[in-house]
Amino acid sequence: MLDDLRVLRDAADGYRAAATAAGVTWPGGSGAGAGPVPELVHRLFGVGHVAGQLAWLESQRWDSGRLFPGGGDLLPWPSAADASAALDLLAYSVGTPFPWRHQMPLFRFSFLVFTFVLAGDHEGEIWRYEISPDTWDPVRAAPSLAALFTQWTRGLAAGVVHFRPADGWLHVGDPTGSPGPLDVLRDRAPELDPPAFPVSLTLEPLLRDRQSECGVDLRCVDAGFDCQEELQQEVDAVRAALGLGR
Amino acid sequence: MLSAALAITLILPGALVGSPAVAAAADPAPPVAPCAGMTKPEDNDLFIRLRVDQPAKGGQAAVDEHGKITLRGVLGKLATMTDVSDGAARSTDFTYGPPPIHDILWAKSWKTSLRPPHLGANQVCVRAELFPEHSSRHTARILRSVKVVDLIRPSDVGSLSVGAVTAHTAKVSWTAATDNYGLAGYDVSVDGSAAHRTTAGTRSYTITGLSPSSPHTVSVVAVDLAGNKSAKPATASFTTPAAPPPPDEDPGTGLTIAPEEGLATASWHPDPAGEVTYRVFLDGTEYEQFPLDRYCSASPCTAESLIKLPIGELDPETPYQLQIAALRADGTQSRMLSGTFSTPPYAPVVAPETTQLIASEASRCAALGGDFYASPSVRGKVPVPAGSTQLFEGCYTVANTGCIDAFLPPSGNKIMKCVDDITNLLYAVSPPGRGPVISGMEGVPATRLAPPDLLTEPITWCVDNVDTCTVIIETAVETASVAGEAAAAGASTSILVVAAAGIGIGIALGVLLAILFPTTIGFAGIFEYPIDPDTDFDTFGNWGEDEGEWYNSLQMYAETVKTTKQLAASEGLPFTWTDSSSQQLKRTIDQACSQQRGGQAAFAGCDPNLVVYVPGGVNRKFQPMLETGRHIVQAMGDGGFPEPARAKWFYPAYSKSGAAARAKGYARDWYDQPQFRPNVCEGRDGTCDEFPFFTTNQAVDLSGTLASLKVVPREEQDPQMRDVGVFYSKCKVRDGDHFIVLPVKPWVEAKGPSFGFRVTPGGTSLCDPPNRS
Repeated sequence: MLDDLRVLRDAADGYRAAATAAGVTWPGGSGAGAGPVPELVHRLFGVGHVAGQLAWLESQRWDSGRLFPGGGDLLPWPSAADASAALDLLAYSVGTPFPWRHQMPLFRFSFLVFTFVLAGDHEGEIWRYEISPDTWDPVRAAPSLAALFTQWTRGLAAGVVHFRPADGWLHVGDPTGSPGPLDVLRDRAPELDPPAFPVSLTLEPLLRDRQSECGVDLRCVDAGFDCQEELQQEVDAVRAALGLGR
Repeated sequence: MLSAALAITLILPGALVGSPAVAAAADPAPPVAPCAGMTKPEDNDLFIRLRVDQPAKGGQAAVDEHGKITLRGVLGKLATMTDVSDGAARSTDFTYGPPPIHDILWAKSWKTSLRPPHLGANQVCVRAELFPEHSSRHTARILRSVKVVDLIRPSDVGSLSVGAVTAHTAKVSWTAATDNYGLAGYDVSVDGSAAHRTTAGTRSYTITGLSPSSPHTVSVVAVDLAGNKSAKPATASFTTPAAPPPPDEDPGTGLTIAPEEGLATASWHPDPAGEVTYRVFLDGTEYEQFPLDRYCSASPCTAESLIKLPIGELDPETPYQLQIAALRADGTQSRMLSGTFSTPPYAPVVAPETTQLIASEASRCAALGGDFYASPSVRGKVPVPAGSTQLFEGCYTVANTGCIDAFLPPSGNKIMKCVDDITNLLYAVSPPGRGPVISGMEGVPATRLAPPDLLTEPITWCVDNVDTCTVIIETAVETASVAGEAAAAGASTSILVVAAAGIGIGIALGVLLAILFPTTIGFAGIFEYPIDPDTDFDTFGNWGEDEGEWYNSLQMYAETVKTTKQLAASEGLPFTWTDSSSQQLKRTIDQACSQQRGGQAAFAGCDPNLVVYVPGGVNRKFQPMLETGRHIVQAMGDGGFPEPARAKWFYPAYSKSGAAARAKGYARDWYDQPQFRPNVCEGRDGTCDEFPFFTTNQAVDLSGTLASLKVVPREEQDPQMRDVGVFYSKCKVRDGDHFIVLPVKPWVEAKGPSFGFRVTPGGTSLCDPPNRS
């Protein structure tokens, strides 16, 4: 779902304010306005247009630090140097109910990548994939960018996202580390939606339920490596067609 | 160093390996002793009337200035002496003369001398005969027990000189002493302290641990095989110089270099305001280029921080020149740091003093007729056979050596299928299963731990000039050192192999193994594999039709070498196998196989049905993972030996989706959780890489040891994850299956790709080949 731009701005500003209040040092010089979307983005992801919501977020220059929960950071527009790696990340998106190529990696966390869906019925949705040797956990993280920011803001307010001065990052869970991050989310802020946060959902029943709701092809997920290898071959073919090296 | 030492004694004659002709010729009938079968000390004859007057029954015989004992007696006038023998020593040179007056009517006297094979208890066989060409030939034999002693001291040590005196060390040298029977070595004493014993062939000694600016007196005496010492010590005095000032920072550059064994650490304070990257040149060749914060002691890196750059793979005792160019953001040079340093020599695994002592005492034990000698480190662990007699500490005679006596001194290759006190002892100290023994060196060179408890690789130690031997019971690493010392000590050694079928003795171990087993058996650890990087592995592959303890280890070695060589050639990688890297690989395989065998059987090869992951400097699709590959290498000993507690990381089991760690409540990003902080990943600029992998039963701290962490470039995370995932899938590693992680340092450094293979009884298959497409 594509947010109303004003709603998106308000949600993002709300998150920035909450994060800053928690202790995050937010970079200055933001709000430069939406510039032109690089042509490479269209070619790389096979789309004719890119939503203004994404262009607006990218124009904020919030990609210079670990500003998001779990030490996550915003990924800038792909460049020629990292275009190939951006495509490779999409090879984790097995069984998605939209073409794998129609999404752009947007947030990167320790072991997760969140993407922005660029086209189709799912345009504007945020999807998440765990970077792991043997888990294929595609699921929708949030229905929109604004919804994602709102979840994070509420997480700060509920105390399930906290600032750690030692590294200057926001972390999910209890400051003592116990119980685990997912348990903290479920027990202390049941109104929040765990997939919006950078916590592992692998082996959690919640994940399977959510995948079903989101239209994920569970047969593909169950096929695991075979399905991913097939997808990887498609990624490799696109990469070759675009003349991208490794 | 160990393998070089062993090369002296363990030359594998490949052409003979497995040859039936060799096997058939290698089990000769033992020679019959001349007095064998005697039921009483004399087996005389009425016409010969052989008599031995000297030495008397139960008497003592002292060796003369030529190391010989004299024997004399009488016999019938018409009889002649046949021979006098003592073990392998034999004399047929007799002098005849008038007998004592009361025997004048019927007898004549005889006299001879021979060099007894050893000091202490001997049995001399004296034989005579009458009418040797006649059909009515008569013979007589007397078996005389005699204790051979040596009462003559060795000569004094000649000139003693002191050279190469430093603040803490000095090297003393001396000229040789002589002895009538044989030297055991020299006792070197510093300032009256307990003596260090060298072997007879070693006439220098480096004194260590001295204080600067201190006077010292060193004395050296010669010690013979009977323990006699030269009358007058050779002495010399010297004074150590003042200690040199500690190396200061180079005032011109602020660079400090701390060399160690095989590596060095360069340290300097950064200038974050004007420096972004550093280019490092070693002897004029670019060594590494890295950003300011990579080796910085703090994050953020400030002018007060310290950059510590490790420089590895350095040769010992070699001077190097180091230059470090500090570069600004625009690539221009802001300053140049430079310095020189020299690496120290490699410290031997076994202290030279220990090796010298064992070699010297082994010579003495052999010369005294000792049947076995236990090195100081194993005394108390060796079950001394009942009825043994201690000749000196560690040196024993046993009651029954009937089996081994027939085969000593070693010549050729033999298998004993009998048992006596010595062979029983060897079985007792050998590893369970009694297969061809393998080293217990695991972890020793890197950590300088005490040698392993398992006693393996007993060797026979024979003093050449007296043609007598003793069996040394010692640890594997000591065996290697002592075998290498044999030439200097004027002795020869051969390996005693404890095998299921019996005890084997052989100078050429490969031949012996070919006799023991119908196929070629590989040895690892301190012994050589029978293959090297230049082996024709296609031929090698055919060996798989036979069973062998080491077959699977050899297959692992062969597949690794073969695959890397093929890839290096096809990809144009700057990689070749050297003797050193080949030895490293063998050691790594041995350690991994030891873990596969439960971490105890350091002497055994791998079990079959193993699957191996070889991490690269790029992944199987040639995507970057250099720092990730280096992390695995570093975590596992950086090409050497890992911390002992980490050895099990060579052999993890796959835990699907990290279920083992999750079951214990560990988060996927456990390294960011408070209970594991602080760690190197805190506030990282990159990805936190962990080893062992999260998807194993050794994740986090499940192995009992906390996983190693390293910050690697973010772009390596995805390639490395895929690498492992593809390996699991392509090589059919199922949940709970174990696999071997085989880090090969030079392969990672050459940016070779990862690959995986499987070894089965049917052969080896490259189940996870690199693929650029």
